[in-house]
Amino acid sequence: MAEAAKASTGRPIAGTADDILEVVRTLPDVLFRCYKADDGKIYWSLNEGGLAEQFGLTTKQIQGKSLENLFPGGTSDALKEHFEEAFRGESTIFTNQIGDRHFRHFPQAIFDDDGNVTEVVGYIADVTDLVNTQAELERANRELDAFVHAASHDLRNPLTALHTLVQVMREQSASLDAKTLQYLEKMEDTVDSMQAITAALLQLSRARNSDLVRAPVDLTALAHDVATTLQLEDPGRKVRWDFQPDLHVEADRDLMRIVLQNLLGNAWKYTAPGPATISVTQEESEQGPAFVVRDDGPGFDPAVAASLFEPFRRAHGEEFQGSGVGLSTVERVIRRHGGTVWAQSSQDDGTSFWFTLP
Amino acid sequence: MKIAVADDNHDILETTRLVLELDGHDVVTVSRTEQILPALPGMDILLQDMNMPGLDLAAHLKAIRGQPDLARLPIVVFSAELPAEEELLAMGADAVLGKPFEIRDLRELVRRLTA
Repeated sequence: MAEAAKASTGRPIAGTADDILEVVRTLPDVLFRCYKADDGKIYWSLNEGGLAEQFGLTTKQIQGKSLENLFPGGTSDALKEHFEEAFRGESTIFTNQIGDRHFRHFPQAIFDDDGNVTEVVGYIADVTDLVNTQAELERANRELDAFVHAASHDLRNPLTALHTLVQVMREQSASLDAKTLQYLEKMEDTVDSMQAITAALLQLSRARNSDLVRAPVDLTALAHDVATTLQLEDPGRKVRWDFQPDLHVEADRDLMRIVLQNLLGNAWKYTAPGPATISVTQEESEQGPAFVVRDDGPGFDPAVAASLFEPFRRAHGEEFQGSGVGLSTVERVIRRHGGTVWAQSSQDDGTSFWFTLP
Repeated sequence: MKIAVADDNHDILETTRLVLELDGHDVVTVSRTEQILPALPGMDILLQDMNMPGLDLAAHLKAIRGQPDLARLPIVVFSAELPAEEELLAMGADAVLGKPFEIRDLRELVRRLTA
């Protein structure tokens, strides 16, 4: 092998421990190896890499010093707890903080033939950038949530006022000419659309922020409830609601209502104005048992299936009213429950939305 | 009818006043939480927004109910966030009106609660 490699690269392959150490010392991280001595304390037999040099903790520098002697109290206690775990064979990845820097440890126990831990090896990486970026993202997300909530909440008052004024004008309609009345009706529709958008944004805000309270939920009963409200919008429309009996889940009831309001609401909207069949069932999927909300409407282009759940993306054009955040709200609720949601459709064969709730 | 409307939003206060005055009611509007209670004696009904700065609605409704002359004052709570109706009724509201509301629903409530 060595001969062959030598022939192909023209250089000998470096394979001794010293050669490997030389490479390790050029890495920004730390590779370590430690053991428990007879005194019950943890000592290092190897600690090499960029970070070790930076902190003056290379093998040579820390030889003979136990964990307790190397770090100040707080740091040493936290490290000790994790390393003791590793020596019990229960190693887990953990991150500690020293000053304003964050270090992720990847310990791994080495066992002898009898199953006893003889050593713990692993590496440590400086993840300060990652942790800071994550904190920044979380802050940005919180600000976004606050913005969505404020935008939807604060818009409700002026919209309510506008809604009231339009109604007052409608009551004076005897003194209005036909054209003005027509404008007024258009205005009323516009106010209604804006109200639907602020309501959907409020729902999105709740789906993102409210505490998740899991309790037994009768999904079938909830679906009937939502369907009754939808049917009230147009009592004359012929829709066959076909809900599988006894669908029970452990979930947040208010958030599941939001899910069904959006999925059944979409099915109702995109099959209008003709007759339709809308069902809720439980079926096997590649992801295990899933709940399926299905309609026999015109369907959407399968190419857009993945982007459906992004906010403000719409598979259908402006001919359908909508806020563009409904499915993104659904996705958020299902994800917060630990499940997944996906859509299936063919242009002529209806649409089905599938979600799992582990 | 003497009607008190408490809301921190001036658009709501003014349009609600407009509707009620068109119906011939006397309307007192209050936009600050601490001004609500002193404005209530002599009123026939209170229309109260559920979210005003510094307002603890439960304590506020309890304080109103604790005053002998206001114990039976009809109170309608404006609510922008549902579902909260049951909770609001349990706090002592006589009725809940979701925002945005239909003015015929507002009229019907005022009529029914002051009958």
